[in-house]
Amino acid sequence: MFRPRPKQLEILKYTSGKMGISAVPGSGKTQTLSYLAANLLFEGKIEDDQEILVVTLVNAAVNNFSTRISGFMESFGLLPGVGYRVRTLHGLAHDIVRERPDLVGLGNEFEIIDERETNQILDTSVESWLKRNPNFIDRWGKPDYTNNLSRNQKSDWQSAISSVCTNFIRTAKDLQLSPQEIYKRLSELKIDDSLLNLGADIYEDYQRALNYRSAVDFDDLIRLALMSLQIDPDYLNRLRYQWPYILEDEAQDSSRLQEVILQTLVGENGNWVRVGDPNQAIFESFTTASPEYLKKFLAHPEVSSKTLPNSGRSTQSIINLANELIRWTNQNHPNRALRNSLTKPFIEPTPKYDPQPNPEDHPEKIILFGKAQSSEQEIKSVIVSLGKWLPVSTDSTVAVLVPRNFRGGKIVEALQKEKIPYVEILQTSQSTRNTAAILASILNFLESPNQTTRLIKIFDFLSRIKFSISRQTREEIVKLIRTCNYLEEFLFPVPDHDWIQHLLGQKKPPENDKVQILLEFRTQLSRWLKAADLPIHQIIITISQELFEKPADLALAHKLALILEQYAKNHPDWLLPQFAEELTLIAENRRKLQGFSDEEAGFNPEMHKGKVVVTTYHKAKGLEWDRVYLMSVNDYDFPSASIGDHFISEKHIYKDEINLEAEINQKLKALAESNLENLYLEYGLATEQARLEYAAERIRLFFVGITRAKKELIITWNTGDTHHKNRKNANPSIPFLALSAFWEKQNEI
Amino acid sequence: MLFTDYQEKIAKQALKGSVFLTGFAGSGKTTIGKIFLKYLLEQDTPGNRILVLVPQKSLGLTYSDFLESIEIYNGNLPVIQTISGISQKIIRLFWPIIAPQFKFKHPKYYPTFLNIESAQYFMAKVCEPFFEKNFFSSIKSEKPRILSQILDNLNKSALVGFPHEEIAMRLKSAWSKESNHLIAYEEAQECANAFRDYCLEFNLIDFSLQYEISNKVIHESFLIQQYLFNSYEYLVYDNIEEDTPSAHDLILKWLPRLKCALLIQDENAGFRSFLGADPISAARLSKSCQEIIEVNDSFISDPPIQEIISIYGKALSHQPIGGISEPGFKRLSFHHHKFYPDMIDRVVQQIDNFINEGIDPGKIAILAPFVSNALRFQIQQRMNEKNIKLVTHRPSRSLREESITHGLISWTKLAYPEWGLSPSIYQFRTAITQTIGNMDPIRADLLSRIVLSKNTTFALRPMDDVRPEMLERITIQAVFQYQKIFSWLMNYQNNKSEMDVFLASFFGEILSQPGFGFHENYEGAEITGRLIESMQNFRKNTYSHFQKTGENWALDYITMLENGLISALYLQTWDLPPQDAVYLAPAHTFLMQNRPVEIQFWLDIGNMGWWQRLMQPLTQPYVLSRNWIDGLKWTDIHEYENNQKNLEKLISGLLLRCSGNLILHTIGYNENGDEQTGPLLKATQRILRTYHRQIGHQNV
Repeated sequence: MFRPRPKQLEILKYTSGKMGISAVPGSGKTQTLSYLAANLLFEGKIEDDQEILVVTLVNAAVNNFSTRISGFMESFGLLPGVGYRVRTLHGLAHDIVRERPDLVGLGNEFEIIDERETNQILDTSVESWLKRNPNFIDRWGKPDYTNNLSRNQKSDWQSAISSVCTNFIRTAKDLQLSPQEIYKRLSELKIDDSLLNLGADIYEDYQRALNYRSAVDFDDLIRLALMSLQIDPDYLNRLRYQWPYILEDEAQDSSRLQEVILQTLVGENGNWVRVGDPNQAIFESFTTASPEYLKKFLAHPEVSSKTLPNSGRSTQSIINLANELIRWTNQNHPNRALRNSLTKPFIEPTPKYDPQPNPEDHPEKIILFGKAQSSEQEIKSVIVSLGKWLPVSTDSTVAVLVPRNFRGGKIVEALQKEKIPYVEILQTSQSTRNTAAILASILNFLESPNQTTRLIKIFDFLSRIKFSISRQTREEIVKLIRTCNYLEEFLFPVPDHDWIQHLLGQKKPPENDKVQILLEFRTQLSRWLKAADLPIHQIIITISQELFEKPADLALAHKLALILEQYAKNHPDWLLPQFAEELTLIAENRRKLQGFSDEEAGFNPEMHKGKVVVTTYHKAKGLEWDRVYLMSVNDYDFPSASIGDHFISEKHIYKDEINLEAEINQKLKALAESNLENLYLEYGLATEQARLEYAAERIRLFFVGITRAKKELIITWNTGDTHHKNRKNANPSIPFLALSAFWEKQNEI
Repeated sequence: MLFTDYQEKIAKQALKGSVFLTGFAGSGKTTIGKIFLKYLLEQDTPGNRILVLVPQKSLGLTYSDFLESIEIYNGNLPVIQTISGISQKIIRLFWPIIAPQFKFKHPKYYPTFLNIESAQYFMAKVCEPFFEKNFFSSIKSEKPRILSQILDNLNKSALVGFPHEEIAMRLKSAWSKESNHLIAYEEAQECANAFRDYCLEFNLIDFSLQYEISNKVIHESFLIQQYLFNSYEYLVYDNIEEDTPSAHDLILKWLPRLKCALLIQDENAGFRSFLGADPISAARLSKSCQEIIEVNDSFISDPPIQEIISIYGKALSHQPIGGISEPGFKRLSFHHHKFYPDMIDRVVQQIDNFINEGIDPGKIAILAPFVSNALRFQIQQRMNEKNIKLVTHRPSRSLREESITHGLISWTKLAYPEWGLSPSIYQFRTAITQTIGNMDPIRADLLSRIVLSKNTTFALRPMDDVRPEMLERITIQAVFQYQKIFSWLMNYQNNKSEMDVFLASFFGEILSQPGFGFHENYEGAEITGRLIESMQNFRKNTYSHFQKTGENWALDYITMLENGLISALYLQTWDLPPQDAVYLAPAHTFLMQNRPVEIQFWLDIGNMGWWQRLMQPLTQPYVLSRNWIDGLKWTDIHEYENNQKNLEKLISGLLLRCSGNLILHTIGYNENGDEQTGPLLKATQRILRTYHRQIGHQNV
């Protein structure tokens, strides 16, 4: 049972109006917000046909909230599942658009396009644009990159420009500018800018391709949701009535549009509770998300501003380290422009007799490893450390956090080599990949149903998720299946040609439980084989509905089904093998899935004791482990906008150290505001500004990393990827050095 | 068939002049129509002087069945027709008079009547240059959908009776939202005009032009009017609320000339509004009838069911529900499942229980807002396991979505090797599985890998040289059947005909024979019939075009089919589906079937599809209707109220066709993995809560 602490109780007294809460990591904000929702329902604050709307950042949090609210409601004696709706911003936008698609030029059957298709559209469009505009590379490329480009150089340009355009399109949508509007403004202001021309041309191509598919992308969904609210006041009023309370979590990552949408839905006198931690704003790069929105909201005179400063998550030493990072940033960061990157309140431990006391302090279990290591050495030393620690800590949780998926892949390889058990949450989640792998194996079998190896692969999967049998039984059944020469006699027996009957007639027939499993397996497979001529999405739905029971698995299978349906529409010639191949790419982590089920649904570290969880700093948000390794804390991954720092967005193919994404976005924003002065700003200033923003976000990312640890924390850095040409050795990041100095001093005392 | 005295009295009354008969579904109105017919025939009225007019062919089936059963034959059978059938007949008959009036470029030649798919084919041709000019960039829609909406607008203009040049103006005047959208309306208008010009140039008559012509000539040409009005002297016009204003206009003019007429209206109906149905317009007819008779005692739904209808009405309109009687509440049962498959399992189990209790399967209907292949497939599979017959009716599905179509197209490709369109192993395996009786996919796969060759012009090989062991694996019976197909196709190579003729012969001589997959396969035969009809129509309608270009119509047809260009093809079957099987259909389709049942299952009642109308960016049935006030803006209030009203109508329409129990199923995650709690679910929750409060349950 939830026992709110005093600061949480203050929040639970809320009944109406606007309230902002600044919460530190581990302060129980999800729990408090869920309790608040259930409490409002219990007190009968809404009508039968109204709902409390909870908006959060990622899908994992949606499930988390729903489970908690329904739990509280049941404990209050209310019907769970009624009276509230939990959505991500995308989910909410989808609800808004889906109910009145006609308002924004859509029919009921519009599609949401995924990353695969968007990349394909952009790549094609960028390729032909670059051919038509060879001067572009002359203008922006290094001299040796402009004449007779090699295949690799071409591909570097292609991917760099695709990425520039992706950001341009995203920003344009965020600013609610259509391609036509951009052209109109360019012509009115008589601007001829190679970057803006590029962006506008590709944006126009891209939108046309989407229109012909009756499709929208995720950014459109949000833009169109806002448009629906703005153009139809009656619809807005209906939704305002439907959602009289809006509770917003992770408000520090709120984007401009999110804020506008929620503000519009809330209305002037509506009820809006926003919870967030400005120090955990880590999704800002090339988005309009900014912790400033939350900070401004908290400071607004009409908003009741509260804090949740107590956290029972970490030991006092870890709290001290995190607080020192805030203090040092505010007071001593050598780059004064970055001193606001982190803000108070400091984290306070939980008060005496709190139901969630902080773990016992062990300062010796915090290591800031200052020695220079190459990137391989860093991995090696972490693996050695894990190899020693894991066998004696089987009841504890541990995570290795890396800045990028690629680096995570390397860790996974090393763990595999050392046979250290692990779970990864990288490009796609583990369950997405498992689901995709199972479905791919089934599709492969449906395509070639005479191959025993494919049949065994499916059995292998099914035996784990459906039959719950021991490893030994599984192996024995697989052995049996291998003896079946003609699969039709197993799956579609006819008189005198029935393999199971034949088994039973043997001198030593298999045990009854194995026969029962074989019979069940047969029923399942023969049913799927008969379903094989259904349209692809329906095959997937049919199979997954029989196969999976967990909501998360079903939701993922549905998502996969919808993705394949879109592919089928765009490629009418595709058959099972092509669909299976797509699923295999997802299963092998080579294709990212964007959308509602992107995040690991309800990932619970406690379920993975004795295994190493490998994930990124970003994906670790909201999670906690007993021991945490923070890797790559060097000046490349955590730069401080100081002289000599390297920035990932300043590509080596560009003429100067320039960030084209930042430059194009700056121009676009100036165009949106018709700000002539900014439109004519010299190139390079936006790059510098972007460096500062990126460096600020990386400090917060470091803060997020530190606050994931409950008891033990190991921080390492590396000198970089030595194989990469043109790259100088990296140094430890400045915040790392500052914390090392602090830590040393603490230990001296 | 037994009739009540009162029904007979009303029918006799109609013999004296014209009667406007109105009442709720299930009040025996159609039965009165039948008695009226019987009396007419018993009075020796020649059958061909009697017209039974219905808005949709399926609604006439009950009359044709009745006429067969009464065995009174006065030389000719009464004519059962739709307005569309009548107008086509008139145009054919009076073409020489009509053609010059309508700017047809070749008035001396007979016109070609386009069906939906050939209209879409020509529309695609006409619109291609417009698409190249970036038309429709302000909306998000695929080409086939854009084409079908332009056609739909044209049809609406004719059915409602306004000039097709006014479509955009009407849509624009009701649009108050995003201004870019207005461009799309203009562009659609331009395409519609171009299509109309093209039709006039090439003597093509699509549905809209057909209506426009007949509307005009029947009203303006004395000769044609005389012909039509003299053709029939007796009229039964059933389900008038489902017909269009221009149909009503015609009957208004015709009524005074008829010897006697019975006009039948379902109250609180008019479900086909997206097709132009207009109950307000239908009500005009009452004023021109000599007598208005109301019947409201239901022969199907009893007081407890009527109580449920009234309670839903209150729950939807947020009125206090008051009390719910015990007998009423007992008719309603409510089941929640977290996942879709659980719901399907439970529904099939419940049906099995009902049948074991002695309920006729034909008296059970499973209704959902949409019936997807996956749903149908899953229910079918589970029903098969329990030996329960199931019939599905899904008129709004395209041929392309039917897997049988692809099997048939694979055979067609093999029959014409000169096209160079051989199917893949996988496609061929599907065709084999469907074609050979009791064939399973594994044996079909074995067979396919043996007989399908890529190196020969004729892609099939005989099974002569195959090892006996393999023959046994595939089964002798299956090999034997394959050999029959092979020989037939080989022989066909020497005597080829058009693609549709091929398919008809192949179906008749092979597929439908005993031992083949289509033997006694009702659904397979239906789809094959639809495909052949579609091919035939396409061939006939495009004959002159392809004669000019010298291209092969069949190849164009296959490309169109496979690329989904004719995905809006909604052909329907007009045979009465078996009455002894459990019926699975979309809720709206069920309403058009004259099939009252004892038990209704409503699936996924949280789905927004129960409430939301079909929305398309280029068309708007309410704005294009005759009832829309010029200049009024369509707002969310209209949208909401309209959806509420339609849901209420749907609920009462369904329940008036239910004599026993209503079983509601709701789910946590719907078919697409969404969580939806639409208005039907919310209204049901209110009812449940009220009842539980009434009987004193806590915590609700």
